Amino acid sequence: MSGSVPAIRPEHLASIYRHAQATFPKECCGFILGASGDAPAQLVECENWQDKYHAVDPETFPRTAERAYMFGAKDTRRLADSFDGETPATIIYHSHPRVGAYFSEEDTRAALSAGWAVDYLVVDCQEDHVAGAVLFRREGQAFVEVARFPGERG
Amino acid sequence: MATVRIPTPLRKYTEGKEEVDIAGANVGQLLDNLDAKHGGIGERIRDPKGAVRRFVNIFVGDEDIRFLDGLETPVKDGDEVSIIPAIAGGL
Repeated sequence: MSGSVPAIRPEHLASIYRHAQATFPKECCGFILGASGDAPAQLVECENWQDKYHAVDPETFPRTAERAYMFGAKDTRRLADSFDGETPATIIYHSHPRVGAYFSEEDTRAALSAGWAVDYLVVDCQEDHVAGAVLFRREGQAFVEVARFPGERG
Repeated sequence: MATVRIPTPLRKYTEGKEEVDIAGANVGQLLDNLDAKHGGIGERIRDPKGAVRRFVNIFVGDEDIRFLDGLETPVKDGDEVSIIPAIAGGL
């Protein structure tokens, strides 16, 4: 991913924060399809399938949805297909319940393995509010902060 | 033959092709044949023991093979198989 930092529409950020609170204490996840021509950016809220993967294969997927996220088939395919269309995904988001908005080692492993050309938004979701969000971008083998967004009390 | 859909991060192994037609009675055989035809892609999909890597999803139609019979999942002529890097993360 290179170039300017993608803007996040205020209504999309508000929806992402609501999504994070609605799924707390589990992680939420989703993505934003980029704007093209007259078509505005589109927010896609996804279901976190981590618990289903954990249930079927706890050795490979030891974390539950309180500590991890994973897209299901439909959303994975939709995101993958977006890169062959006119509005490719620009941002993948997920929440971190209670622990702050940082790009974890597991986030890094997954993102490096995948190689999607997107930025990653991590939402700091606390028990009674969203404290903010941070946008990360790949630089070499690491992900660095490129933008910070205030929380509901920010 | 099944149609194997290749996402953008893996197309460097398929000369940029979005889809390739590959034979195989089940997913494991299909992956063997895919790697034989497009060298290097197999290492991205399976670990040295032959298991599907944790951050790779393989779908037959709309179902992840982890919820079916894994690499033994049967593949029929005309099936669509998608090999897609997982969209995942965790603490």
